[in-house]
Amino acid sequence: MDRLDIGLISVGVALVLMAIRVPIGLALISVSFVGIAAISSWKAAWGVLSTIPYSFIAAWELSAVPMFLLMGYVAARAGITNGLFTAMRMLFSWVPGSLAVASVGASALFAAASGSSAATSAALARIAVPEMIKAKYHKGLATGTIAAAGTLGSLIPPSIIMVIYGVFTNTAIGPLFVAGVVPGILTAIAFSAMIMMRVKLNPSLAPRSKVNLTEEERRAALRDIWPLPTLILGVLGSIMLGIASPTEAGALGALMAILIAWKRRSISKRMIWDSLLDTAISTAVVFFIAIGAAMFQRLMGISQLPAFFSDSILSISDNKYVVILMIALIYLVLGMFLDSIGIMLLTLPVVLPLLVALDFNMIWFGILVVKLLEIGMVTPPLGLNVYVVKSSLGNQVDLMTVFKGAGWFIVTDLLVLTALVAFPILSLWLPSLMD
Amino acid sequence: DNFSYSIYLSPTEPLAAYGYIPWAKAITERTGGKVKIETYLGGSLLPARDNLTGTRDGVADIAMHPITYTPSELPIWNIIPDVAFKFPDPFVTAFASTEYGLLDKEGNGEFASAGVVYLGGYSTPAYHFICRDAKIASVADLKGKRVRTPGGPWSRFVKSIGMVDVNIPSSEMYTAFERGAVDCGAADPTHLISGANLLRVAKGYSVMNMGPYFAGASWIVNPASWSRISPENRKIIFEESAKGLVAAMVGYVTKGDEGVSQARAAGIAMVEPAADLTAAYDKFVAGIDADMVAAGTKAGVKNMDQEVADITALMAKWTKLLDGVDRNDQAKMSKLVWDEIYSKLDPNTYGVKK
Amino acid sequence: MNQSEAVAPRTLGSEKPHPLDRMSRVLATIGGIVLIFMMLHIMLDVFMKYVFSAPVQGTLEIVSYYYMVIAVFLPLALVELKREQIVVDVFFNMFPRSLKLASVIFSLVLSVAIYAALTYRSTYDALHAQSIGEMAMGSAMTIVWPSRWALPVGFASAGLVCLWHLIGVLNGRNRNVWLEAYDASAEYVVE
Ligand code: NA
Ligand code: NA
Repeated sequence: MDRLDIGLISVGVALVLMAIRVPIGLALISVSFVGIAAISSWKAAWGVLSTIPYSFIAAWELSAVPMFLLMGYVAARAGITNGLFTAMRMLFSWVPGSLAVASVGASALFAAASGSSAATSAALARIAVPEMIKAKYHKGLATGTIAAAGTLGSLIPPSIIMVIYGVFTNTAIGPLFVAGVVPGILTAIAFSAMIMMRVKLNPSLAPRSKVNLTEEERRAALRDIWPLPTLILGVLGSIMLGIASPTEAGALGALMAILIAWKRRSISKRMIWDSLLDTAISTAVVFFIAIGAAMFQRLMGISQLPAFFSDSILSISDNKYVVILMIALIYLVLGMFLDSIGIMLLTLPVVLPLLVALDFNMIWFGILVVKLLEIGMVTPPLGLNVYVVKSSLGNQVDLMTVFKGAGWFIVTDLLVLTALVAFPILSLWLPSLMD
Repeated sequence: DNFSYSIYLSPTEPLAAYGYIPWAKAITERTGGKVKIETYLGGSLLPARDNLTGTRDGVADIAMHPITYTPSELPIWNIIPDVAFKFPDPFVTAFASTEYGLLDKEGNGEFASAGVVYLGGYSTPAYHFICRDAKIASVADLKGKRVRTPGGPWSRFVKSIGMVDVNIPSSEMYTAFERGAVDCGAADPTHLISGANLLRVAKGYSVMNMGPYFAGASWIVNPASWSRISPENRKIIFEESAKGLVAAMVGYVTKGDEGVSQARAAGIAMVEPAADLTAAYDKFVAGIDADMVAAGTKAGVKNMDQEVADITALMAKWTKLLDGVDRNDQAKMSKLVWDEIYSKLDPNTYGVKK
Repeated sequence: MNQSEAVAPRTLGSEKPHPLDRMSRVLATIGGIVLIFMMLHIMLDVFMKYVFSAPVQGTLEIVSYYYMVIAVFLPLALVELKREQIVVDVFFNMFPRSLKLASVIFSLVLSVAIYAALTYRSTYDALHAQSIGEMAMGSAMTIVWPSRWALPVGFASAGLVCLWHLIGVLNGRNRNVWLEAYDASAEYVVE
């Protein structure tokens, strides 16, 4: 058996292990260990098991991840989002499907204070969905909106997926973050436009709702909205102005979230404690997978499978767009079954040589990857955002309704994706201003 | 037989492009594929800091190893870089350090104790201050400026003139520079046009030469893998290493010169050091022998003064040997490196496990 | 949520938490506290850098070699205890009960084996790093070997928890919980 075969078998075994519910990180570590031993030697396999966990983690670049996680948990627990949805409702009260459009806007803003997309969905699901259902919105529209708009959490910076992508592909994380802003806003606009169009054509989807707010409530909402823009200004502003590296911006964001919570008196020992424990757990979970992926990357390297894969694809076509289409299909299929960080870490080692061969702009490709992965968050059967929305609503809505509701957004997302592929400037313009 | 060669550099960096990749190809061809060397670039096999342990453990058969990552395992090698302040010619430091690593008992022994076979070194072009500002002539100009250094003697020197050493990863250097998180970098001039790519954000380049960094290995080899190679093929590797070292150095230094000339063309000020800066520099250099001995003693090296004397003597020897030699004459330099260093190794015994 | 409560070990009829529960929480809490230190340390460095042009020496090294390593590895036991590792269960949910049981046992045995291997190797590495007094070279030399011990501690504790789970599945104590679908509400906050 040559090493190419071992490489292929390893990929297959990793997928089978995941399918029988072996945790993703564990599957990658065990397959890499045995695969490297089979191709190289047991000594080499032990060597990788020894060097990677420590070397990969003891790195400044990755330290942005726990900081953004901490910021997100504190922000959510401190109710920093409370005023957000109300304010958005007031702002969009005049458009068709106003509550859904307001949800998209609120998600986009919340995304700027959250590094993850499931967290964004979770935060908005609890606030916005009950309001929409009360206003007799179609349940699929109400829940689909939140599940899909949550994906902005990874596209609009900060973004944990982008940090990990940057580290694995050697791409500067600051510009990558900045590159996500325009595509994120574009996505939000496209989602809103699609909602308004659907409601215009079928008004029963979203009965016009009056904003029955007292003057006092309006004022309270506006008083309540300041924390989020403040956080966004601090985090994104410091990155864009280059005052802070992503890690420093993350630490600043976490500190600001704590201070804001303190200012709003929504801080308690319990809250800080829970946020810390959640952050510690999520940090360990994300990095355990990343360690597995880093080992898997070594296995892929010595198996020469990526080079083979790259040559095979290039022998079919070396047209950039054809290659992107093929990669997109792979991501969309995997996105149906696998978790997004898992997909990215599983595939990057394999597609990287291809990207280098075609001289892709890695920032641009990073944005496409994030977009593709985020589509996977709402496609059945495994769609984490859909599960999150469903779980926060209990029995009020069944799973298929949410998936169907999200379907419209997937179509919209594919259109946005096409635009991002066709016009790289949408992603690259803003980072180019950083120079 | 396949041999994996781990290089943490990207394929376009001069050491890899002119030295290591052609070296691997030449050996593969000349041994008729008996020693087939596969290069893994960009750290795809081992992260930069794990090349020593990874090669020792057989994850890679061969690796390039920047020694700054393993101060505890290679204490002497981590102290001697200071000597470059006295011998600022990168060809001298590259060849003298290679001789020290291959033929000196302690220089070679440290690698052997760390579990790998040393096959040759490299050197960067000399370090200079590259700054956001052109007012960098005197100590007063530089004082208080935030500077990114690679550590070691550069860190001590900048602190001695009142600069602030900021430790940021090299990947963040460009951004930090551009936004003023740092004011200067102590870097070799290739960083003007590659790597950190400072050309667009720099305004001043100090012509004061702060010496190159030479204490890295171009090739360390796993002892078992090395023993697998026949003596005839080991001899071929020695020959190609002499050539490869010279080619790598010529490529690297040329790239540095290109950086300087592009900087000049782009209007970056070439700043001569003022008298007080030169004086401060000379004062620092005068103290480095004592510094090295002190550091060596602290790190538990026996007879560090002897090692300082040995490496200094080799530097002096190569300064003389290279005097008047055209630095683009690769054939001539390769012959010197072969005659003076690699030809003295016995391919039957060198690094072979008994 | 409710599921993790159900799986977490409690000594019956006693207010005292199970030792594994307490150990996991203590370790994860240390990880969490380290994150606060990390945040404050980085902020202090930024502040000193901009206001006094005097960055805190060694920030990069301490963040990378200490805070990151401790924060990532120590909470692993709690991750395993609360079954927070990310899994794919779309296929698993379609398996017949016997295949589910086989998968669960296989997965837990694999977990124990891998954690054991990681513990063994990282203990060896920590001992080696300690014996040579491992340091990192930045603007100053920083001693880095102590945090190496976070790896064996994290891996061993996580392995113990998996072993405890495995015993629970084998003797039936926790079998049903493990054969059910993962509760989607169990804080999937990762991405
Ligand atoms: Na975000
Ligand atoms: Na999916």
